[in-house]
This record gives sequence, structure tokens and C-alpha cells, in this order.
Amino acid sequence: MYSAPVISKRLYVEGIHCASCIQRIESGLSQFPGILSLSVNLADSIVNVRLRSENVLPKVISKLSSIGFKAQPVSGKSSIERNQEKANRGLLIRLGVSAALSAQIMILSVSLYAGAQGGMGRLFQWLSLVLCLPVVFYCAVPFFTSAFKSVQAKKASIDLPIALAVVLGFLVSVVKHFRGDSDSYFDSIAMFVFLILASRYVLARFKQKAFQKAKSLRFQLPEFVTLPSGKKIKTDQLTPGQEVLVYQGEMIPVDGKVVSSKGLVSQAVLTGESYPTQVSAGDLVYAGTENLASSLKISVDQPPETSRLGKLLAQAEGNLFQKTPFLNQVDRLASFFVWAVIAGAFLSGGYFWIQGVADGFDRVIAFLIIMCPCALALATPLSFAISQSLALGQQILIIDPEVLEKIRTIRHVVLDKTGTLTQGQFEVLNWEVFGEFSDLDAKAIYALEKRQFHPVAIALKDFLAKHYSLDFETKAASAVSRIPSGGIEGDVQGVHWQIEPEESAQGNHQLVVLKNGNRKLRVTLGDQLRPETPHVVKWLQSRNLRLYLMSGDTQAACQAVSESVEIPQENIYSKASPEMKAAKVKELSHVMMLGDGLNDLLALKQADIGIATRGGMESALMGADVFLMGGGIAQVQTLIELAEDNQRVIRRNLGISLAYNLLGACAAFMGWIHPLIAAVLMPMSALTVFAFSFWRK
Amino acid sequence: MEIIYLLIPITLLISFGFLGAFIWAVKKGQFEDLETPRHQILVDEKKRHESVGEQNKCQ
Repeated sequence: MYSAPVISKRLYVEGIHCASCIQRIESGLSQFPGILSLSVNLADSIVNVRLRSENVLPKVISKLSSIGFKAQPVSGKSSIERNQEKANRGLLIRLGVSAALSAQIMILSVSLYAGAQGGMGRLFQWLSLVLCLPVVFYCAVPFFTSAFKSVQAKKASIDLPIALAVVLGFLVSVVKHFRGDSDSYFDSIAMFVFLILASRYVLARFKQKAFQKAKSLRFQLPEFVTLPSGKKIKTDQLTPGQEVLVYQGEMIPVDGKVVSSKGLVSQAVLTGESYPTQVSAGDLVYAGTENLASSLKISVDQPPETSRLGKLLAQAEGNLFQKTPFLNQVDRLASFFVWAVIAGAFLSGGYFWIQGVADGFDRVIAFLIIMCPCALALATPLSFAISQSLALGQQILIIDPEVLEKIRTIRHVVLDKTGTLTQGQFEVLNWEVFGEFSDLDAKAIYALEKRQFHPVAIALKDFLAKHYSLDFETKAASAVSRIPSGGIEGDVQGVHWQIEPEESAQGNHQLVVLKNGNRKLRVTLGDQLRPETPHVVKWLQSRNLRLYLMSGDTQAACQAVSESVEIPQENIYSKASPEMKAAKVKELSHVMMLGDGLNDLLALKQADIGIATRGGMESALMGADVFLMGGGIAQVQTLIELAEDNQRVIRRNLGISLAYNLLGACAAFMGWIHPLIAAVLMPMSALTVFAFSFWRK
Repeated sequence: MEIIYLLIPITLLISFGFLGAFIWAVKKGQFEDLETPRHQILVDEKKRHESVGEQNKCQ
């Protein structure tokens, strides 16, 4: 029987936060014709659907948008993601096997310690040996390969002593077993491997989770584009020189030149600039930006992968979770430590042999096991990963983890005004009504502004929706057009409305609304200070940080802000161009700069720590070390506190592990510690340090 | 104490049974998404099958 092929599609859906979102999507699509199955992945904001045919996809997307979700088809999992998934599963299975086997071996060992003898004791020993085989020859294999590779590269990884301890411990146990000795290290080896695998798995998952979150932030370019002929083709089939048509409200999929007339493009995603840019024929537009006004015909210069955005994304992926100088230092320290441990083991082994110490071999193995610098080498990156992940939970994307290390050296903090100290968007500050103003009038203005995406129009619509009842149907506005002065006019249900900008004294935006030529409204719009700003500024100052305010805004606007946040006059720079800001930042040393991802990019790069408070992630990634997704200054406090916690945790971990290793080395050398106890103590120390990494206050 | 000789294979069987189940679950991808299911349990089973298009804002 012929069966139609099933098509699997991944949709990136914006705004899935909670159970009710999942419910809305599932209930909205469950009875949808053509959908065979669907699953929602909250963590990645992905909805997987299996469809009867390709034609169903646009209907699904419009259905999702009708229940309030913006969806975009995205390509399948990349080969990197698939490999990662495979590696995760492999590690998890190794972990599970070692857990089950070490638990079994433990049961047997406890009986042996309790004094199981004779036939039963021998059986238990045999069983321990057999159960330990998969642990050594399957679960521990990654350590062997990694140790082997590190030796080939003439570097000592911490997997080297782990591998040595496992191999030597196992060999000695086998020899002892066949000599009829009752004590063996099978239990310790199994437990050791299990605990080390567990810590590796936790570490890997933490890193991947943070990475995934960072990736799901980036938006996805449209998968299909429309050619001027009306035909739709896949975006990746585009070639330079080809022309594409981008409708109003659509994302521009390529870097290219505008061919047809005039338009309005929002570069917010790329650069963070909320004010739309006018474009006309011959102007360059970039992939990822949004076409706000009429349809644009664009001639392709660069297809998506080689577009400005595509290159940035590639660069960003390379940047995430690179090793910081500090982590490299820790690595070198661990590597040195490993050589010292191995040399120490062989030297003391030789010494014991010459001296004829009876339990010399036990002491060497105990030494090897107890000296494994796991706490040192794994806990430090784990602590960084936990910090980065905690930061992400607070909407702080740490692009360069070195920030966590550098933040304590900061002496100067340079703040940008718009978007950092203030909300960064227009709000209605004053709403003055002349005569009567009904819900019907409100609805009319709303209808007039409906298709406008200017920040002022958005603020106006927000205010109307909040303060008036707009829940009834009216006719759409007709004959809408722009007034040369920058306003807009049009007819709604036979009434002529005009919205015009007006001169204002305080540097705020002011609008008048005219109904059939009569004044109805005067609206003042401005950018308000964030409520938390004064508090955070005080907090920063209480930490002996010197604050600066640098803004491209007028002096009056800067003064207004500085009154409420108490920044000294000499540290306020108004009308500062991006170049001036960068020069000023260069003069200072140990400086942290907070600014938006677009205008302050130069200064952000110049600063020791550049923090982008708003704007597109893509632009932030170019110059900033940290991107505050929630925007605003409050997150800086969180970031500094996180960095301090991180420092504390790392110092505490280093202290514990060094003290532990020193004591352990002496005790093992003197023969006070049996290898068995060492093998129990070693994971215990690693566990202590891990627990301390999670325990933050 | 002879019962031990019976108990050992039983414990081994049980533990390998669970290990097998675990490996099966890993291979089925049960541990890939640990986020969604904990929310999904809150979704009302009845409501899931009603086709609703409510616009309730979620937080």
C-alpha cells in the first residue's frame, strides 16, 4: 500500500514560558487537520510537528499566530548538535552502568568486610571481579583514550592519574585475587569511576544548557523567500544578484541593495536601534532586519550564511565557553601537579622497593588515587559553568567568562543613559484632554496608528490599550498618510484625524491630536528613569566604584537624570559621540562600561569589561563581554554578586583540595592510608568540592 | 545462609533489569528535555483535547 511521506518540521516559537503556553499550543493544534503529532520543547522554544504534507506548514504557522505565538520554521538539528546528543547519551549510559555495577560490588564488599569467608567469600570475590570488568573495559574507556592522547601530546591531563589509578588498581586487584588475598580494590575502582563520570556528566550538561539558551536567543532567518515572480524558494538556494521580494512586516533574509522605491527598515535585531531607518533604492539592507513599511525589492549581495549576521553568529558560537586565562592557568597548574604526582609515585615506589617496605605497592597506589587533582581541575570550570548558568537564569548572557575573574579589579564604571539608567523606550508622561474624549475616539486613534511601528506610535498604542476600552469593532482607518512634519493623518468612520508633533521645552516629545481640525489631545512622551536606578547607583558607589555618565543626549536631559542619581558633575559627559566615549574610556583604567550594543560599541570594546544593556544580541556579541537581556542596571548588581560568589567558591575549592592533597600525600607515603580508604576519600573530596561549588552563600 | 546463593542472582537480575530500562530510556531520548515535562503535568488532560483559541496572557 502506498503511504504518503510524513514530513517532520521544527518550528522556533517565540514566547513559550510556562505550562499554560504549552497547553495553548497543544490544545490549539491538537485537532488541526494535517498534523500527525506534535511535541513542545520548552527549553529550546521549539515545537516539533509531523505533518501529512509540506502544504500544511503555512496553515500551522498562521494558526499559531492566531493564538498568539510567532513561529518560524527552522532547519533540522545541526551535525554538531547531533554529535553532542550522541556523546551525552553515551556518557549517560556509561554513568548508569557504572552506578548499577558499583552498587552491586558494594553489596558484595560490605559482606566481605563483615567477614564473609570460605566458599561464599570466594564467590563474592569472583563476582566482584566479574562485575568490575565492564566498569574498567567499558565505563572507564574515555579516561584511557584521553590519557593516551594527552601523553601523545606530551601534556598531562588529569585523566592520566585517573587512568593510571584505575589500571594499576585493577591489575593489582586481579593479582591479589588469584593469589587468594581477600582484599581487593574492585569496589573502590567501580565507585571511583562512577563518581568521576557523574561529575563529568554534570559539568557537560551545565555547559550545554547554557550554550543552548544562548543559541535559542538568536533569532532564526526565514527559511523561504519570495521572488518577484511570486514563486517561493528556499533561502539557501539564493545566489548573489538575484532579486527577492520582502513584504511589510517580514524579515529581510539576505544582505543586499534595495532595488525598488522607498521603505522603512527596523535594524533593532541587528544593532539595537529602535528608531527605524529610511531606505531608498541603492541603500544596503542587512539580513535579520525587519521591513516595516511597503514591500521592498532587494537584490542579493550576500546569501544568509555569509551575511553580516551569519558571520556574527558563527563568531559568537566560537566565542562561547572559551577557556579564560585563569582557567588555562588552572589547567597548567593541574598539569604540573599531575607530573609531580606521577614522579612522586615512581620515586617513592623505588624508595620503598630499595628499602624493602612490605606494603610499598599499596602505598604507591594510595598515593596515586588520593593525589588525583580532580577538585582542582574540575571544580574550577564547574564553578564557572554554574556561574554562567545562574547568570543566564537571571537573563545575563556572559559571553566572555573571564569577566567573572576581572570584575574585582574594576575601579571605574561608565554608564550610558538611554536604556541603561532609563527604560530606553518612550512612555506617555502627560495626557492632556481638550473637551470630551470617548472610547470611540481612542479606538479611532488606535486604528490610525495600527500599522505604525515608530517608537512613539507604539507608546501611544500601549497607553490607549491600557486606559481605554478598545474591545469593539470599528472600521479600519482609510486614506492614512504621513504629514511632512513627521506626523500622520487619516480618516476613521468619516472623521478626519491628524497627529502632529509639536515643539516642547524640556526635550521631550510632544504630540497634538486634531479631530476634524479641532484640538482633542496633547500628549507628552519621554524616556523615564528605571525605578531601580537610584538604588543600584548608590550600591555601586558604596563599593568605592567611581561612576561616570556618558550620553549622546542633551545636557538638560543628562542633568535631569543626574539629579536623581547623584553622579558628580565633573563625571557627566553630555552630547558625547561614540568616538568621544571610546577615547574617554581609554583614558581610564580598570573600567567597566555599560552601554547599548550599537552606539557604544567602540567604547564597549575599549573597556576592560563591556556590558551591552540592550540592542540586538548580534551587535552585542561584536564588542561586549556581557549582554544583559533583561536590560537595565539592576542586573549589574546581580552580575557583580555572582562574580564575587564565583571567586569565593573557587578560592574555597582550591584551599580545600590543596590541603586535602597535602595531608593525603603524607598519610599515603607513611602508609597510614590503605588504597581502599584512599579510593573512598578521593571521590569524597571531589564530592565535597562539588557540593561547595553549588553552595553559594 | 544458603538463601544468599538464591538472593544474589535475584539482586543481579533486578538491577540489570533496571539498568536495561535505563539504557532503553536514554536511547529513546527521555533525558533530553527535562524542562517541558514538569510543566506538562500541570496541563489539564480534558482541556488538551478541546480546541480552544483563548488569548489568555501567560506569565
